[in-house]
Amino acid sequence: MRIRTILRTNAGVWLTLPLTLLAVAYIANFTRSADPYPVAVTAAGLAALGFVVPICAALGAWEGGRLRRGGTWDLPTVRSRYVIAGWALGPVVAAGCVSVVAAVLTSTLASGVAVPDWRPVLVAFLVVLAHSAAGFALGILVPTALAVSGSLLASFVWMVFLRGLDPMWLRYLNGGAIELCCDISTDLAPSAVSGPLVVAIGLLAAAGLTLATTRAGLQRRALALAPLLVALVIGSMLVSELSAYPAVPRDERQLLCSDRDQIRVCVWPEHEPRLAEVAGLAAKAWAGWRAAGVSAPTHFTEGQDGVPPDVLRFSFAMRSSPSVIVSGFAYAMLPPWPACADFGPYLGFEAFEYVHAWYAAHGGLPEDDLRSMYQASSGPDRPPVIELVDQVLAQPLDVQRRWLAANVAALESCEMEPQLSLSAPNS
Amino acid sequence: MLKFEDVSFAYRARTDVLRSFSWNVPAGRTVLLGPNGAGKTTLLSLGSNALNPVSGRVCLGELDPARRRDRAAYRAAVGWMPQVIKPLPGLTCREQVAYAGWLKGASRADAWNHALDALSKVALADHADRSVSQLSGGQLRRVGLAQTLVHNAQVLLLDEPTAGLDPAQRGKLRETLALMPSDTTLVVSTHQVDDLGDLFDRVVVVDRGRMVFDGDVTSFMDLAPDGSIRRAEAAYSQLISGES
Repeated sequence: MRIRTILRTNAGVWLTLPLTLLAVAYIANFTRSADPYPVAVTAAGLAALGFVVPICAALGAWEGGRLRRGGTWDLPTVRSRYVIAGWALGPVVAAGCVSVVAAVLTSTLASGVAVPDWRPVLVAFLVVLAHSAAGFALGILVPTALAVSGSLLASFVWMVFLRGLDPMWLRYLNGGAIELCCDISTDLAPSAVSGPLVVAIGLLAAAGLTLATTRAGLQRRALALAPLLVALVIGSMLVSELSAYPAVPRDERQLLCSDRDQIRVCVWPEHEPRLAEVAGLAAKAWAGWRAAGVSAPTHFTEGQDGVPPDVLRFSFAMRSSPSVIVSGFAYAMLPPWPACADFGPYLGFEAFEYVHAWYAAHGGLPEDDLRSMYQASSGPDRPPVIELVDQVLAQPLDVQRRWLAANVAALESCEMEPQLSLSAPNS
Repeated sequence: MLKFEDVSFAYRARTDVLRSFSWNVPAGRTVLLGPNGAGKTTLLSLGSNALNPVSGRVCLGELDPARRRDRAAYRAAVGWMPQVIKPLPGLTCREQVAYAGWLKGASRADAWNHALDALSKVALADHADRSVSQLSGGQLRRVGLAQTLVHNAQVLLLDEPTAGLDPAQRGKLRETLALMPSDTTLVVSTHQVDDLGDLFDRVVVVDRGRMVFDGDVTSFMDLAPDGSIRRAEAAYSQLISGES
């Protein structure tokens, strides 16, 4: 068909601009990644798939319906059905892909990332293509009104409602849940890419077989669904190991490290502009804790390698203030959450804020920031954090260390009462 | 030459429409007569390769559309105007005809250029930029005819081109058919015997999937009893009992 005719008559062409603007507005309105981490900010752009894909499916159904009404499939054509479908579907797929790219670029550029990660984009493109083709196939089989509404609804349910179903890994079959990837210390799980890709290819194959069997009997037409069923089984096997987030630990070899004043600080490449500053804060915190007589690791890292207390794992965002970073160091000094707390009462939990405030104060957190952080923090049965920590800080260091040791012990166990005064354990 | 060799065909859950049907379609203009349900549409659909025979074969010279490698060439060589013309929503007349040419394998540019020629042949050039959906039934049929002309087919199979047209529209369509190139094999199906006129070289009559007459127009007319006033109808009645 003549290109100008396609541009004039194809629904995909007409809706490219509105769909793109909608996708941009949607992404600009609610996603803001704190870090310029390409895979995370690219994945965030995929939030638009929830409506871009169903609309493409409906547009595909509309175009399929047009060809059906025009009797194209009844004609003995020289051009193959796939070529004919390709030209009818091309603008629809292009509309979806342009919208996805616009949404992704909105997300990445807002975070200062110029080049998106290709993996989420690949999944999004294939999902758009598969749903558009499936809509098209439905459009050539059933009346247009039914095909358009059915495609829109089925695609929307698949893209949006799947996320609310159990088991949790079901959400990864549609490709949309890639938007949940990733914090800076994780990378996109390969199976979160391969799973939806396999399902999308299966859907595409089913749509293709449907095109080839429009005049076949019901049994042969039903067989066209076989690739989709096989793909769902394979895709399920691929994603069934994924948990709430489609992420795996990031390759630690990417960490960039600074060695200064006997302190080694490692951050992810996206944080490199602040490495020197963070290294200074880390050295200051370490020196403060040493001066207070507390042992602290000399290796601060954003990675997952190493086991506390040999390393201090911390994280921050590019926009984090120095106080937030020091506060993060202080959190990292706290003992890990005890396993017993998952199954019963955790009496030591109340010591959490007091111990953190103490570490933060000795780690170099300015007093004003400490006060604003814990200004309103108190409870009916416990003293205000600032009040108690001020009292503790006014004591000799050996008293402070005894108070700290008692509360750290309470944090590490579930039965021990925390010491929320300087004299005796809190009752 | 278009050939039907021992062709049988049945739609699903129906008895045979055609059974061991053979026919060498001659060059020139042939009218295909028969009552409703005789198998005319099926025959032309098989000839166009819109349908495939259950057994037997349809071929054009050496081209056998059952063979994958011949199919495209066969389809490009045969133009088919179905009984119902379904325009693609949103297209103009020229776009519709160009689309048909593109479907038949012509390049976009060729299809676009030839579309105007084809519309000229059916006297619709001045409607080229009009939406197909605004056309009358007769104009739509002429667009359908233009669609078969746009790709310069060797064989044209027209299924009931005058059905549903008023006498004036039928007259115009017959004028158009009369202007067809003489080297084109033209088969026109109709159940209206008065369409014969002096337009056709041969007459073929089918009934219940069988060919009951194949001859020139004079031989056909000779079947009419002496003294018949409407000779074509009378001849036809001799072949198809109970029809007129």
